Amino acid sequence: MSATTPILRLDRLALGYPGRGDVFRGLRAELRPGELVSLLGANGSGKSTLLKALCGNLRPTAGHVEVNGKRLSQLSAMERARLVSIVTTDKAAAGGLTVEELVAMGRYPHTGPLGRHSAADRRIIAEAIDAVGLTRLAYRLTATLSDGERQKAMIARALAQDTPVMLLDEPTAFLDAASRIEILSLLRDLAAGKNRAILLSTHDISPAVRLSTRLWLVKPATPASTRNTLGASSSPSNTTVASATPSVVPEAEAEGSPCLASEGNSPLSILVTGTPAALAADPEGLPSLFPGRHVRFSTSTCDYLPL
Amino acid sequence: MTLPGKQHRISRPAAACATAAAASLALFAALLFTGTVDIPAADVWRALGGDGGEATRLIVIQLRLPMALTSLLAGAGLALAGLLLQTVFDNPLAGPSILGVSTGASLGVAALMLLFGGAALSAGYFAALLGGALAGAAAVLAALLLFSTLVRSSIVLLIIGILIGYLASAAISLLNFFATQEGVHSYVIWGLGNFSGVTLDRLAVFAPAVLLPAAACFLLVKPLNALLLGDVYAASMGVGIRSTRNALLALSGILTAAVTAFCGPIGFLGLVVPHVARMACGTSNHASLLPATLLFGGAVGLLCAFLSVWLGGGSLIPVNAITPVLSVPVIIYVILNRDRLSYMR
Repeated sequence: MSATTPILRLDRLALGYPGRGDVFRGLRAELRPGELVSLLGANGSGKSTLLKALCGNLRPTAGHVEVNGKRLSQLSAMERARLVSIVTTDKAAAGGLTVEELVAMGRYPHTGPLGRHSAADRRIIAEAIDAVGLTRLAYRLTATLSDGERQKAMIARALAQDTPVMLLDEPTAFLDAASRIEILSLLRDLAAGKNRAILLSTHDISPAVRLSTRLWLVKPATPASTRNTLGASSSPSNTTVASATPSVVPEAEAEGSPCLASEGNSPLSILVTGTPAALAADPEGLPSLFPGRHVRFSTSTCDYLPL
Repeated sequence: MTLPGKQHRISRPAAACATAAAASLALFAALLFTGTVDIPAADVWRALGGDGGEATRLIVIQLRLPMALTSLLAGAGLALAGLLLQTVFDNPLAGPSILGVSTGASLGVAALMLLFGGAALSAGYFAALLGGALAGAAAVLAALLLFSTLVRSSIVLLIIGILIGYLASAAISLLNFFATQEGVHSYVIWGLGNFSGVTLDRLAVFAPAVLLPAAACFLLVKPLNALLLGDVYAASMGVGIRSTRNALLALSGILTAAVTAFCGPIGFLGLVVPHVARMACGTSNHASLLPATLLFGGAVGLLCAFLSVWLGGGSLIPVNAITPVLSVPVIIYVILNRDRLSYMR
């Protein structure tokens, strides 16, 4: 158990879309300040659904998301904007704004109706731009930036929003290999250096495993795990997933059942959390992201080798 | 921690606004000092001061001045309505005429003009026309708002706007069919677009109908800029998307309805001027774009009025014969260069 208290908690969260059943059920998980958590999983497994719920764009069908001890659903848009910032893959039509103007928008929930910036606002904006290494390009139009620089500018905008939680939906998509690792390293430094809780979804398993403090794996629920879940819901105090699969990571135990699935009639996913090393060693952890392939994760380098 | 200072000379948006203001001033003067009747400049000055011959005063104060003011306000109002629509729908080709908002307003006007006759041109009559135009514009905007939640593609929304415009046109044709000859005549004249129909006392209604919504827009710079990043980012920064959208659409509806009621359905200015403003300012920041769009809109409105007098040689060419000639080349330029214009990327 970490010494710091969680800033974001999923409390028996169930997520789904009307008429299509739940994607997740009974999710429990936590994010703590200073940690960089990568959300891994196949396309369509529910990563985006989960992120949408965490930033308040999708109402849970049951349970709730708590940020800083307050339920997300009970916060106003402005209050939420002071707690959670996001970076998405959406291509924002902001080419006609300079990097500084774009990053300054992060101050939105902190400024008055006319958006005037105080000296403190300007300092925060300058620091955010500096943190992503774009000071040299501060007055360039974002249209003139490379994709990687643009993504850094969007991250700086989220930093300037000055929220304890940052959520990033595939921030490394569309970037070249060097930029991907650069962005992930940057995020890890920001999490530690500025004590933010950062959750990002990504398909770059190798750098994510290497650089994250912890991982959240979204996996399709197998009949076995569904059974486990049903067991868990009948006896919530027991961490059924952990007991049924002894190899599951210690943190999963600490957080209670971080799992969950849904009713028998709908597609479902489960969430397994843990440190990269623990999940690399667990056959139900990282290797299970490659169903039908023999993939072995090296626990020493946290890298994977297709066999 | 501070950013390195910008190399300030005169900022590009400030220079663009100054240019537009100077052009407006020059065109405004041209409209006062030239016209279908030759009046020496000295006499015009005297008339503006309240002196001189009665005929001269009548022409300068009752005809030329209102037309100059009307074209300035109409151009600025339509341009601003276009800017708001382009930002709200995240669509560089949106505008009050292309989305059918002007046609909706026209339908409202046509219903009043054709059903109740166009003879009684009292001030109350124009207030009623304004009400009809507002109702028509609001109906089209509500339909667009509904469709914008159903379709993601901005091109599809444009096409829907064009189709709604056709529907409104069909209704107008039907009204024309059943109207009196006199009603049809006044409607056709109105439909050609005209900056000369607003007298000084009607300006007392028209000016606030344009200036008040314009002033309100300056209070919405912050959410307008946030919308540039798209709804998801804007919402994540605390923007109430629905209320902001509704407010902006209402303002663009009032602006379009006011201009349409008083000057007829004037095409293209709302679509083109925001692009001119963005290209001149080199930014899509609304703090610069709002004043620039107003000033360029005013200048272009005045230019249309000036051309309608100058080319008319004794009478006035309809404004709607001029706006496409000025606008279409700019639109084609924008479409062809969409990958090179920074604000489109």
